[in-house]
Amino acid sequence: MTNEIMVITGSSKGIGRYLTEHYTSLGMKVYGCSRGASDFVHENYSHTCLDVTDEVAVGQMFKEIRKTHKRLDVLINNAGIFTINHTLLTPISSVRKILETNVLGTYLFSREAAKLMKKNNYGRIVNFSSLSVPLKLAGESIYAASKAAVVSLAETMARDFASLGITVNTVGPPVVKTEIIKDVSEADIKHLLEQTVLPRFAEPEEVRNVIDFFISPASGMITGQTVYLGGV
Amino acid sequence: MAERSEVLKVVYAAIDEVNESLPADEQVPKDEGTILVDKSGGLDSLVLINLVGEIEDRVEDDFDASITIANEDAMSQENSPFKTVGSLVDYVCKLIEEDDND
Repeated sequence: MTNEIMVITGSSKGIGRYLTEHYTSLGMKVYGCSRGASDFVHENYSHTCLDVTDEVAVGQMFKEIRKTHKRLDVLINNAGIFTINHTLLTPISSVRKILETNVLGTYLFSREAAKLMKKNNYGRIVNFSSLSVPLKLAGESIYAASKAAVVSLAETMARDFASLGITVNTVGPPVVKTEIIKDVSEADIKHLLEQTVLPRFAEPEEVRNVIDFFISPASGMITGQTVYLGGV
Repeated sequence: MAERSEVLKVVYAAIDEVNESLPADEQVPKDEGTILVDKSGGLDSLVLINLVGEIEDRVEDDFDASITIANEDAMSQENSPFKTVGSLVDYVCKLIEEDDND
């Protein structure tokens, strides 16, 4: 995978940061983005501050990649908002924000990435869903709905992009110890973990293992698939 | 402001690029009257996607204009800019002009 060109959304923190550090260390050229700045510095890394729902800013980011490399090999749609909140206590502003970041952002990046990937008739797109989808946990209605939409996007885009040499797959991690869960209570985390076949936190390396499989050049026949870590 | 004849050259160059990957009997004619999208036929959707993408990239390279051809305005127009190569050239000229004015 050396010399591949990759985009990772939400690259400044958590799993996105871990993946960014890992793939740059392998020699891949990584273009990352997040709303805030990143303190990660590496010769193979370029960072853009943007909102993943900002069509103009996202378009500009991909145009820079096109001008520099004329191609894109991998997109990891990692950026997302996680929340646990009872349906009766969730304001519409939160619902909108979650849907826009998790669904619209994934859609927008996938669309722009595919425009670039099709030039080379090759591409790997990986979406981030969640165990919240199959587990249907109370308090996660809009989060689970947004992540179910991400699975649906991947399954449908896999068909849209099949003739372009682009695969689209989804990884659904359980709880990973990152900043995304910093505001979630211990009781909620415990309850979530208890629903899984393997009731423990996932390590970032375990998430990466699935991504490595999806983005491998040898995985050209793997598309429209979802792998839930932790078991359902 | 981009001359229409210059934009036409860009669109024809994009057609050349797309035609390179098409068999002889499916070549897109470089003619302003070539039908792109029509109820009774037109280009294969994948060919159209590739053509639009190629035009957008070439417009950015040649005119330093960032345009998105398949936008809400284009989709809502009664007379679709995707009807023929000629109507598409007119629409691309309009988008370049709007980008210049931004």
